[in-house]
Amino acid sequence: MVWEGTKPKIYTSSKDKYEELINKYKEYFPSFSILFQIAAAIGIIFEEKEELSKKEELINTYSIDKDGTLELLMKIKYPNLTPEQRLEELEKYAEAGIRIIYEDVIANGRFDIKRYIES
Amino acid sequence: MWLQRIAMKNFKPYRGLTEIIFEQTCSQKRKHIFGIYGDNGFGKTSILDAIYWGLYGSRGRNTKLVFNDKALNEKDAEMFVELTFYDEVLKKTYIIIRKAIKKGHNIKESLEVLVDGEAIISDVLYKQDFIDQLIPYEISRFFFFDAEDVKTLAREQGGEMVRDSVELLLGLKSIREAINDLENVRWDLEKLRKKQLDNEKHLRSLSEELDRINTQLGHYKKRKEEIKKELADKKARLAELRRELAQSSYEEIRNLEDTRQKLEEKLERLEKIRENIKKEIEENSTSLHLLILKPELLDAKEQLEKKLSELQREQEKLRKLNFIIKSLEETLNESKCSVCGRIIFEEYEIRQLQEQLKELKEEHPQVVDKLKEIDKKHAYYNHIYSQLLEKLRKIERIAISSVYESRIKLKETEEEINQVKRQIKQISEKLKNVGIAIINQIEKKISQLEREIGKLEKELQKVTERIEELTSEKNKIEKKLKRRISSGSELSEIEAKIGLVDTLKNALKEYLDIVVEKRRQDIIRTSSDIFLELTNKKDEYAGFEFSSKNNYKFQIVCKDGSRPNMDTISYGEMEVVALSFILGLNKYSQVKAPIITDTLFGRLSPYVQENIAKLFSEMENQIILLVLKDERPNGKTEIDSIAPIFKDKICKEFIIVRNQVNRESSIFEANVLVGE
Repeated sequence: MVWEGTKPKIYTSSKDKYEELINKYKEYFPSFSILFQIAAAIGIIFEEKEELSKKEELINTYSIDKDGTLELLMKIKYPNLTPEQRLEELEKYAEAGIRIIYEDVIANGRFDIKRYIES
Repeated sequence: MWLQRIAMKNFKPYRGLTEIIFEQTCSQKRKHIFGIYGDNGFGKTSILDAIYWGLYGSRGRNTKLVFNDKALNEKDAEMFVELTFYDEVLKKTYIIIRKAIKKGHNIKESLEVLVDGEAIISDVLYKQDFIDQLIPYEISRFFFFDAEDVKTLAREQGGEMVRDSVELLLGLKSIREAINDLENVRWDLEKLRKKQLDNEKHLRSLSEELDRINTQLGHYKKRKEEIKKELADKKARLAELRRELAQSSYEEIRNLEDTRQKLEEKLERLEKIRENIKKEIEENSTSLHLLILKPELLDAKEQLEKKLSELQREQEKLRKLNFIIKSLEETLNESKCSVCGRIIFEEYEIRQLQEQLKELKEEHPQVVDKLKEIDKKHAYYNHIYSQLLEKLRKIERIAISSVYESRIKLKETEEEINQVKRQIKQISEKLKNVGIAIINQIEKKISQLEREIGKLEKELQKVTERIEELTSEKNKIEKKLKRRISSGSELSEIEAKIGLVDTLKNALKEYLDIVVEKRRQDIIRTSSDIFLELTNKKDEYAGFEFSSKNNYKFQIVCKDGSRPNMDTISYGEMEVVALSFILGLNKYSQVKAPIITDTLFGRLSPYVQENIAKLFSEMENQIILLVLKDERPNGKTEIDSIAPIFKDKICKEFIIVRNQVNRESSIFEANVLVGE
């Protein structure tokens, strides 16, 4: 499934964090798209969003959310927004999420997904 | 000659008493082939070695360590091989029993030969000579052989092996012995002559000259015999080294290659597993965020359910209103209650209804449009709700544990892959070194031996030339002597006898030359016929020959009379020539011994295998095939594909079983190619 709308790219202002996590913790984050999805999910459950201070291109939109769950959830959460706006909201959730993950991994030296699943 | 029985005890891997009986009754049913099957290292070659050791003792090949390892550690250990042969022509049974008994650190060998149950009472040398007359050692390799013999002969393209074997054929030995006997007679006569000459003063100077020449001749002849013996020993060692080279490197390389192949197959399997795990991990990782989102999705589900029930309530309310408005409008239009059908006449009633309708419409404007909008919203949320349910069902199927298990599995698999890769690399390097190291080592020994043989051959040539010179000198003196001896004297009588001996000796030598040449041609003709049966180039070749000009090297002859350069003939083709020669010699030989082949087929090309199978099925000799039973799980043998050709000729089959714990082998009768 492809995200509705016409926004072809996903942006972040924390590309350095993504790169570091991918390079050092490949066993947990095999790709940018997987890390972005996890970051967005963490942002959503913690109900934390962060504005993007700068816009760095991260990945293509079509490479995320292949089963459409994130899009569905964003539709439920933001029924009145356009698909592009919902994607921007998702970027904000991911921005908060990547910060949380980064801090967690740097502090513990590993990524324990169970903590986020149980919470 | 039929080998009826082999019995052995403590011989190589055969610890206890092991017995194989090759039933003679089979020959009456025209079944002459026996199969003995075993995996590599189980003891097939040991059976061949047992026959060699039984017949020829330590002269036989591979007979350095024949005592079973464990038995050898026992006090007063005994080892023996007993062979029973039946000569169908002479109707005689020969039993040969060779024993080795360990006494302290020494091993004492003994030999017993029984003819029709009667033991030959004589010394070991005589008994050995008796055996050599049954199956001469020199031609035994043409009866008991393996693929290596064929390869060695092929590698050397005939040569000395051909020359020696032809000259050692049965029948020629006795002529050589007669010539030797005549030489001894002449020597005795010369001694007698010397005594007489010592009495004749006028002949003394000639006598002294003869003495001098004879002394020298004696010295050179003795040296010639020594060189010959030394040469024979060195040549035997050379042949052994070549065999060792071929066998050890082949087995080791083969084992290493087998291991490498198995490891490569394992690597391929592991790499497939790794790909599947990676796919599994990727699939699971792609869905990991869903596990995080699960509570959020459950919340959204609840929200949607609330929203949907709100919409439903609204829908019902609006539907009700819509129904009331429609009913009022209908009642007013038809002046009849749309619900109960009562007729309405009264004006006040009509006005009341009209006011009611007006009020409702004012209170709820555009009910129909609103209802349509709500219906649309409901359908939309309902669609999202069902999508959400589907996602939740999918999340239920994702197990976090499987993601971790897969990662552990991946790590383990990758470690195993690296280990296998390391092993393959090690084996590849070993393979490179094994081939080169062994070849270098043995080739060094071979070239050293070849140099020594070359030196000895030169010396032999010089000694022979010197003997010829001295003999010619001696002849001249003897002629002078003859002229000066007065007729009728005792000396002249001795001279006449010497003359007679010389004539006989020369006649026999000439006869030997003629017979050798004739037999050589007969063997070549027979071998050439077999070659044409075995080769797949029947249309191209007319046969093969060997010429004395080129040290008896094989030469293929084409139908147009041309003779191709043998160095450019393929190795496979050379093997066919060599095998044809072996079988030709065997067929021609006056000795009718059983043919015993060891792992002959697997290493020959398929068409040669097929043709040998045909040839074997037509031969009259008893044939015992020591066959490699494939180690792979399909349990096939090296002759499975060609077995149908001679299956009807198989009399009995045996299988060698090896106990891997105590490393002892046993032999059992079995059906392998011939079923019930």
